[in-house]
Amino acid sequence: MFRLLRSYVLALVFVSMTSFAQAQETKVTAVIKYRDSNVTVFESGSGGAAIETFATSELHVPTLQISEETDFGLVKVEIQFKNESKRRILGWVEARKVKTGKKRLLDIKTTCVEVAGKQNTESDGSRGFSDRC
Amino acid sequence: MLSDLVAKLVILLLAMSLAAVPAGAQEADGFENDPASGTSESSGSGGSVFGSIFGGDDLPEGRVTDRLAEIGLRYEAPGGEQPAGRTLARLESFGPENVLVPLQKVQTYADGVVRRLIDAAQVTGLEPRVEIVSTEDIWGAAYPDGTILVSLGTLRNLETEDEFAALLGHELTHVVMRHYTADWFDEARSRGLAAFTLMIDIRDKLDEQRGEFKEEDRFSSLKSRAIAKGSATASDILLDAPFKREQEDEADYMSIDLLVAAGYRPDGMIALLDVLKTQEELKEEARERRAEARRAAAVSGKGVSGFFDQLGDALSDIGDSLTDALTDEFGNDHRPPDERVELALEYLEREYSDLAPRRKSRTAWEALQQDRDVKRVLAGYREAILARQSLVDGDLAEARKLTRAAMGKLSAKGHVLPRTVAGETRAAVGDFSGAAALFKQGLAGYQPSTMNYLGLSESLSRQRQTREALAVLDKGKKDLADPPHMLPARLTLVHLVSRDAKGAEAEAAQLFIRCRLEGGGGLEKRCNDAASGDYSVFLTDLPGQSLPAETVVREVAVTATALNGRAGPGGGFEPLVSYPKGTRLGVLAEENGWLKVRGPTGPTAWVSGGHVGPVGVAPTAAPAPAAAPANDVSARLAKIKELRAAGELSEEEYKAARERILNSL
Repeated sequence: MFRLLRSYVLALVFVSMTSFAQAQETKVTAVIKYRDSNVTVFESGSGGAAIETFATSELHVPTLQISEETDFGLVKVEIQFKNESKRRILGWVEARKVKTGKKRLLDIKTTCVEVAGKQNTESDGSRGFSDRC
Repeated sequence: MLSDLVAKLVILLLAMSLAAVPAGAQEADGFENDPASGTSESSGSGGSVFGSIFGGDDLPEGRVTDRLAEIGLRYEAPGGEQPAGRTLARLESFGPENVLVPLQKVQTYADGVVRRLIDAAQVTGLEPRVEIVSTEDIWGAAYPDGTILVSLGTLRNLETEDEFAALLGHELTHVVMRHYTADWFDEARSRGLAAFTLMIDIRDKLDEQRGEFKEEDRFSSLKSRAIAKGSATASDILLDAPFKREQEDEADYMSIDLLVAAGYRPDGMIALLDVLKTQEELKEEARERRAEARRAAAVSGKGVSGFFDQLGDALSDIGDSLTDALTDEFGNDHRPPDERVELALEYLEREYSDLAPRRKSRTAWEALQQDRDVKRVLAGYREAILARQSLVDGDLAEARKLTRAAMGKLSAKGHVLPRTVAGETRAAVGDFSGAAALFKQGLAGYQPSTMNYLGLSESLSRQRQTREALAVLDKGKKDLADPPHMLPARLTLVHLVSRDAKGAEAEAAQLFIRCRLEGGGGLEKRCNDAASGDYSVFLTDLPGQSLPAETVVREVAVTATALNGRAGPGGGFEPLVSYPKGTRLGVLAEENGWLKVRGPTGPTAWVSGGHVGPVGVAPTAAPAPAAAPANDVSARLAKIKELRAAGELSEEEYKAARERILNSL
């Protein structure tokens, strides 16, 4: 009985931890290219000390190690150098610095499809974030 | 031809002269600081207008927030607080389903985020007020008084408070950097265009009334309109759009500054723009699907209209495509999302490359998204909007089901939309008493919506409560009178024509002109809707009035797979209903190849004559002109016009009959 209860509790903890992790992290499918001219490599998924900053022109496209973005917006990658084929660095880089295959699914069922030309035709002083339908 | 050239010159001269006016001319607006510094200084390192077009992707020198000190950290809203009516009128002009959503929890939360950003900017004197708009798009807007609108779509689709703060930071920048000071030029141009196109319309109408209008004239008018529109678009592209794009860029960059200063993750802006990009892709796919469906419908129902109609339509299509393409590329106030992402990344890299990674702000945001009340409101508005869509598509059962669900979730006072849609659904099945009660409930909320006023007055009139119906229109006209807008104009048109057919035409024309001029170019289509939309349907059903009754003169059947019934006689008018192939429609009137029809359900609407075929003789014979009431001049004039169109009266006979009717006055 106790063993059953313990298994149940463990299972509950595991499930809740898994769902917590899913809520806290965003899945990244693959890195396609660097977005910036420089990239800083960090020691851990929460930032911490920076290992070094490299010019991205000197690097190959990084290999994704863990397909999750941490709550600090970092992804784990393996860095390879163009001129030093044997040199490799495992570290964390900011997800915004690499273009990934991630595409957020939007929950929009009633989006308008006709764009009514320019948004600010009414000259009432208002400004918008995007051109309105 | 001469008028074309004059028009071109007038618009271009207007544009050039306005562009030459020094920005300091706006001081009359009473800003605390020189408004010129609010816009010209903020125009980025692109510098000149032409620089903006050809090399406008340069980042501004330094951080945008540094300029705040020059502009003034003490904010004073021009003209005081934004009237609520103005916000509502603008929302309604986007479509009737755009309403304010009373969602206090989210408003309080958003006010807190804006306050954090304002404090970071060190701006004083600005009291922000965030309002929630019902649409599902990810969208926001700001007014000079500090009112910021955000859509329900942001709440549904953004993942962190950083992203939400990025949107609010963008809107806040528009306010604190006084971006609205550039609007005088936009307004002048749109009014110039409105005045010119109105002139063409009036000239054509007068010619038509005198019987001097020829098919060639229609072609010439189309050409003049195209030239005027093209000139306005050109001035917009050359002078206005780059200016506004720089403002939008500035809002993106400064939002990043504000995020950093307020302790948010600056790449909340990047994530937000990435989501926007996905949204644009979704819209593009939907547009393509719709265009494909239209093309298929056009192929299945080959046109039978005349040569000039076809030529005019073809020219119009080409003109629209060209204008759309130019507008997409250059004319929109915002850059394409791709470019916005790249520039924002560049700015972020340049200014904040040494910033240590920050934790995402998601706990409070996710708690808000998961809040039971918030989820209920989100679900309720989605159902209400889908219900309206079902109603337009003619699926009454689905509309009723969705409306019931929405009403169940949004029972509190202030949620106007579900009541409006429920009222429309009841009216569609003939329950006018129930519809009136729902529209009344809607008006008892805090939003005086046009749809509720129109719906209530129609429901009352259908129950033979004419006096009450007219009183409702009177009240609506007053409630919706500020700002000058097509909606009060539309109500006034309804009212005038219903009350007094004799003097109505002249007064209606005056109101139409006012609507077009005061509304500016952007409202042209909606003023046309107001003048030629469903008000005549409404009038038909007002009992006890000497009104021109619309009679079914013949019946036709839909030959296209699905045929749009529109608010007016042209492809540019808003679709009201979709008729499946084979639907029998009663023809009430005809104009330029378009038929005003009554279908088995839904409102009367206009359909293209090219997509219907004959099915037999009309079930209701048209009464002879003599059968019309002696004092009903409009009805008699309309009838002889119909008979002329049907070929039963020659031109001479028509003119003589018209003269006799007018003389009887």
